[in-house]
Amino acid sequence: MFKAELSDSNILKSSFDAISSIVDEVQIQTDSEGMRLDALDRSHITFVHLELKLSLFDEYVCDEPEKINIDTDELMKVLKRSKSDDRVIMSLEEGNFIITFEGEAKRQFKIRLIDMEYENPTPPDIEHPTKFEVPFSLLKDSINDIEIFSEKISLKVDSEKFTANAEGDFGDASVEYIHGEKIDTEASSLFSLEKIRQMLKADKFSDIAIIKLGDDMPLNLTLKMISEDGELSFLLAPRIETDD
Amino acid sequence: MGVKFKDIVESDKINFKDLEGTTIAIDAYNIIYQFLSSIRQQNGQPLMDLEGNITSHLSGILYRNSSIIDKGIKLIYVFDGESHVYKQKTISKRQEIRSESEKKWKDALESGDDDLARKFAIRSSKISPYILDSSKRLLDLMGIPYIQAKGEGEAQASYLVQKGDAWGVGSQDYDCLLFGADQIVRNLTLTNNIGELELLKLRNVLKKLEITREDLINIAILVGTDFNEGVKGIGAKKGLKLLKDNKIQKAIDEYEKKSDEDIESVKNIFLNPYINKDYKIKWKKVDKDGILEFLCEQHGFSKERVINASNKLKKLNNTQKSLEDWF
Repeated sequence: MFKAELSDSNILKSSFDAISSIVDEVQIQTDSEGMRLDALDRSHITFVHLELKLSLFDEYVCDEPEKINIDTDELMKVLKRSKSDDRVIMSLEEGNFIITFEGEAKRQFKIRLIDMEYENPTPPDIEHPTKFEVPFSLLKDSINDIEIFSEKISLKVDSEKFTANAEGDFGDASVEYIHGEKIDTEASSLFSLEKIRQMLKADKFSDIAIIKLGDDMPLNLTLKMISEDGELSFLLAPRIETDD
Repeated sequence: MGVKFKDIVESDKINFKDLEGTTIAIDAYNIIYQFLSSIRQQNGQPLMDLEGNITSHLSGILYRNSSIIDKGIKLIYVFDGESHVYKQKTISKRQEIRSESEKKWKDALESGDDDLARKFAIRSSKISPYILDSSKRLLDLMGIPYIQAKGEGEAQASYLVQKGDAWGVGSQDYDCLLFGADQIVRNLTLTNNIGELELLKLRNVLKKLEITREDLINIAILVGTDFNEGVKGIGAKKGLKLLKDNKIQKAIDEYEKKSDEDIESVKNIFLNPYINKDYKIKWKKVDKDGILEFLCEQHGFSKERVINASNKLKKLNNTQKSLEDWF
């Protein structure tokens, strides 16, 4: 039997807003410690990892590990219907993933599980030279600033500040943020703005984003709940620019 | 062309977005043939320059490839080498159809029946040395690498995928499944977005049917491939049933007795194909002036459209990496 109850429906809605824009189908794995998900998009550019620990749930029962194969678009359509003060209860029943919202009324949705081969991906093991925190809202704002001129975003960090900037045909934009952390090296990589935008759809997960950057290396972005009960992290392959 | 597997093989519908950052090995003959057949005027006349040289293929190579590259996909063209002696029958049959269609096309043109003319014109498409040379020339100018296979282009393209030099093969044929390509993308180069992009994953195909690649090859042999006739009345579905009922070996033995074909060798074409293992893939810079000179000066293309398309090719040097590079 599997049953999990959350008092805050935003956690799921926010996570899957990002996940559904990256992958079409996922496998959610549940066991006695909680729920988790690892997924890689079709062209292997973005890896996403979601972990919701037992302690996050108001009620959590999982007698034996379950694999929930689901179409992320269908799940997202349902999650979008949640109201912000709804409680959400997840359970499984004969080929269906059941989502119940409890607020003014009790609303139940059954989403058909899908039949698919799923190889749980493991992310590459990468050692980044830098690690620092930035407010999530600042990151989201930067994307909107940069988007004015370019579809690519360069992320840079040095001992003092974190910089996002872009050079477009019609203009340039840059955002600087003094990070106040101890970083003794510089690192910079270029990314697709669209891919970063997909990750940042998870805007109600955490106020802080932990970033790991290297030179021409994948970006590691982790959203961690303050309570450490949940984590949503991404690994995004960079773009490499060669001179014309 | 190719083995008829449509009835038993299921593909996934995908979007161009799913292919961003990947490298696709293109089965050159298959795709150029497709350009020659589909890029035509209303009455079936291929596109031609003032001197009467066919330019349908050049139009396809420039416009179609540049729009694919613009979506962040890298391409490698793979040209057929010598075709296997077993393919001779298929080849002469195709030649027959071509020359017959050419006659009927001209008749239809004379009688003014455009629809009929187009139908036969499409069937009369052929890849001449001029078509090959000019295709390679244009690819070169565009900075798209191409490889010369020793044998079948599809086998070579599948090998590139197995080696990790390409992520998938772009072909309309199912034969690459038999050659062991992990991923096949169909409808990649279709013009006018007629068909949706389809992805065939060998692993999924085999898993779904609960068979091995060798089983799939056995079914193909009964259905008929480019290298053998096959058995009349056996299609993919029936072949699969014979396999499941453990009757396939018997059917193949009977087939071999009746025909003069050496089935073991046909199998071998797929399992141990003749491969060029000594190839180099090098992406070059786009030679924009060269493209303009070749297409506009020599073949009468519209300058504005050609410039537009060549600007898209910049993406070649400017690519989205895949996480695979960090595993």
